[in-house]
Order: sequence, then structure tokens, then C-alpha cells
Amino acid sequence: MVSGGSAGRWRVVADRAACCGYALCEETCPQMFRLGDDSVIEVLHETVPEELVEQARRAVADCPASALTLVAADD
Amino acid sequence: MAPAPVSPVTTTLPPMSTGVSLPNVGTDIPAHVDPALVRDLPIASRQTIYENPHEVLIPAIHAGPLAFMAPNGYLGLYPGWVFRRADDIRTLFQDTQNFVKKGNTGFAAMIGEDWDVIPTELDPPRHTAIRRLLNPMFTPASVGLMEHKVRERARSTVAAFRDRGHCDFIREFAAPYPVSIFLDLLGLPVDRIWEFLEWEFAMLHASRIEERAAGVRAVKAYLLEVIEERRRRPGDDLISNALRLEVDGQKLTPMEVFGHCFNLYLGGLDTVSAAIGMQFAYLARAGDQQARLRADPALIPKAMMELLRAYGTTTHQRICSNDVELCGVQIRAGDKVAVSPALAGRDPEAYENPGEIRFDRNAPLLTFGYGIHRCLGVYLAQREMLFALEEVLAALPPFRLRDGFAIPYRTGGVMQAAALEIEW
Repeated sequence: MVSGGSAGRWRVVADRAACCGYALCEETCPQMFRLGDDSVIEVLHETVPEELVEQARRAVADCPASALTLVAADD
Repeated sequence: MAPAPVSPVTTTLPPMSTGVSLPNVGTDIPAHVDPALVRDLPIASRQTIYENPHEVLIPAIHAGPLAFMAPNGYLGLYPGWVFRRADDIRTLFQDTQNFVKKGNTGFAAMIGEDWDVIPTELDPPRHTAIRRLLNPMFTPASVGLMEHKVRERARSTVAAFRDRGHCDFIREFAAPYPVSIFLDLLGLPVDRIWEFLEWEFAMLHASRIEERAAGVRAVKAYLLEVIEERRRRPGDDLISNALRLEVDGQKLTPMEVFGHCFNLYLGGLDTVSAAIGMQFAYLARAGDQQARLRADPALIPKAMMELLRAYGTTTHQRICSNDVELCGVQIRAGDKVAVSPALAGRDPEAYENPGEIRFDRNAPLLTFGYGIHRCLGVYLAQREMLFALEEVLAALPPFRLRDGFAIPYRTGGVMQAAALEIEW
């Protein structure tokens, strides 16, 4: 799910209860996402570095468990 | 037309049945379908052809309508809708409300029974609960622990024939390398590999329904026996592990354990072999591209993804559970739908000049599926394919098709080269 405007800074909110450990986010954008030892998502940066926004957006859209949301960082 | 092969195929894999005798084809198209929308899906029927299906059959499909009803669209046997564009295929994968999987492989029905292939035939919420248990065993980190062993297997498999100057790459590498790794994971005897592949072949590639059913029965009887043995003497393998799985404190039922083992068997014995075979069939014919990878092995990971796009091997199925409109056609509840990553990878709207293999394309793939049913073994499969490319290119000098050899390709739910005679 993607909400908010297209400019500015972004952060990713992860629903750890919904995460099923598909690891697709880690494959798509490893600088931003990692599965922890419990195979549940960890978001590595508070806000998404600008050069990773497109990859992060794809990871959010592709999450099979719909566990990720991209929101404007100043929300 | 490609020429007929002039050299005998030396593989001992069981031969493809000749002549396609499909029950009911064309006779039970749903009544609501406009006859003008009916046309064959040439990649779906189980046949052996001597032209590359991705380079010849699939571009012809993309020159046609966005959606059509194929008499053989479902499992190569029954009518099913076909949507050819990547965007629509992604929608079908993603919409688990309207396109469900219960019974979609047809294996249980084939032998007059009712059990689920797990997780692939499950729908949420049971699917979610079980995938959550299974995914941790197949994460990149889990698969990474096996990396050394997988690479070693690639090395030793190619070492067995590297000095000979020629081989049937399917029989000597593309089949035994990934399948032996998978049999190790299941704790099954690797020396029975050809027998197991015969059963898999019957289930997935036989054109006659009775042959397919015989394959299902053989696999079922064998797996039930092994499961019983592991129940008594558990080990460190995926079958023993299936017996330990619990959802909310409840063990899986015996038929769920079996259904999961059946799914592992199905997934592990065919798809990676098929993909590796198609990738090397390309490289054997494209000497210049092979030379580029040899000159710069750092290109290999991206090249692998590009070859996965262009030579996706699978076509899956969904069953429509509500009346839905897609691409201007009405799909009614109960209609069957073919969902084909093989088609998606060649969609000219999604990929510019899709017939061109561009190692730096870096494009999103649907080859492993999309959404909740995305391939469970995807990261193992990718490691196996990567090491196959790296180790074979390192071990063999430039290779090409054996003079006069025409590659026999099998079409169907998992497309593949049946033999690949190469020399160097």
C-alpha cells in the first residue's frame, strides 16, 4: 500500500504480525529490508534513502503478505 | 519448420507419447463463451516439437488477442481462459479472492480422490498459516547455509563429463544436479533418481490421463511409505520436518503431511531442471552471448535473471470463484484460467523487444509467480541456476549444439528441452 504525495521523504511501516517471511522485500531492496533470525521483516532505515525510493516502492507493492506500507516521513 | 533431428536422442528418460489423445478437448467450452474467442493455446498441450516454443509459439500468441478461451488451456486437457499480458497475469496471481486454487492441479481428482497439494492448492487463511511455517526454511539466509554444498554439486556433476568433449546436457547435468540436491533435502535415495523422474514425467508430461494417474499413484504410494518410516525414525530432512509442523498447537493431519510432501516432490523434480536446460539451450545456440559471460563472469547473475524472463517454463492454473470481467471478457464462476509466466516474460508491452536477450535488462519477473503463491523454493532455485552457469562456463570450453542435432522441446505445464547434445 502506498499513501501520501510523491515528493519528499518516505518511511516504510512494516506490519510484523502480517509478515510471513517471503523475503521478497529483502531480494528487491536488500539495503532497506532484512529478515531477522525469526524470519520476520526488519526495516533497516528510519526514512528511505532517496536513491532507494523506487526499489522500496516496488518491494512494498510486491509484498505477498501486504505487510508493508510506504508513508510520507513527515506524517 | 525446424528440421527433424538427424541424430538419435540418447537420453533414457521415458519417451514422449506420440499422438495427442486428449479427452473432451473442444467439447465442453462453457456455454457463455463467444465462439469467436475460442483458439488453441499451442504451448499447453503435451507434445515434442523441434522449434523453440519461446521464440516461435509464444510470439505468435502475443500477436493475437489479449484474452481467449483455449480448448486445451487448462492442464493441456480442458478449456481455460488465457490472458497473455504480464499486467493481467500479475492481476490473476494477485487476486486470490476471485481466482482460487483448491483442486487446481487436478492430481487428486485424477485418481478419484480429494486431498490438497500443500501449500499450492490451499487458499487463505489455511494457506497463510502454512506458508508462514514453511517460508523460514527457504529464506535466502537458510538457503545460504547450503551454498557450499550446492556449488560443489555443480562442480562434481560437470567434472564427470568435461574431458569427453560432448554430452547430453539434460541427462548429465540439468536433471541430476538440481534433483540430487533436492532428494538430499528430502532424505530420499539419490540412486533411484531415474525412477523418481519417470514418475514425475508421467504425472506432468504424459499426454494420456491414465499415464498421468499411474504416476500420481506411484508417487503417492511411495511417499506414504516414506512418511510412515520417518514417523518412526525422524531425521533432519524436509519430510521429517513436515511431521513436526504445527498450526496453533495442532500438528498437520496425515493427509496434509502427505499433501505437502507431494508438493515438494512436484516442485523439486522438474522446474529447476527445465529452467537450466532452457538456459543452456540458449547459450549453446548463442555463441557470442556465451563469450560475453566467459569474458565477464560478473554479468552472470543479471544474465540469469534475463534468461529466466525470456525462458520461463511454467503455466499455472486458477479457478474463477465469482463472475469477473478482465480485458473485456466475462469470466464466470467455475471457469478455469491458465496463468502463464512463460507468456508474461515475452509480453511486448512489459518488455521492450522481448525476443532480444539483454543481460542488463534488470526487469521485474513473474517467472516464479507473484503474490501469496510465489514459488517457495525460489531462492534455492536461483542459487542452483547461478552456480550451474558459473561452474559450467568455468569448467567447459565454449560449447555448441552437436553438429546436426535439433533440440526436442516439450511443451506443456513445464516446458523444457528433452535432450541437449552439446560438444566443445
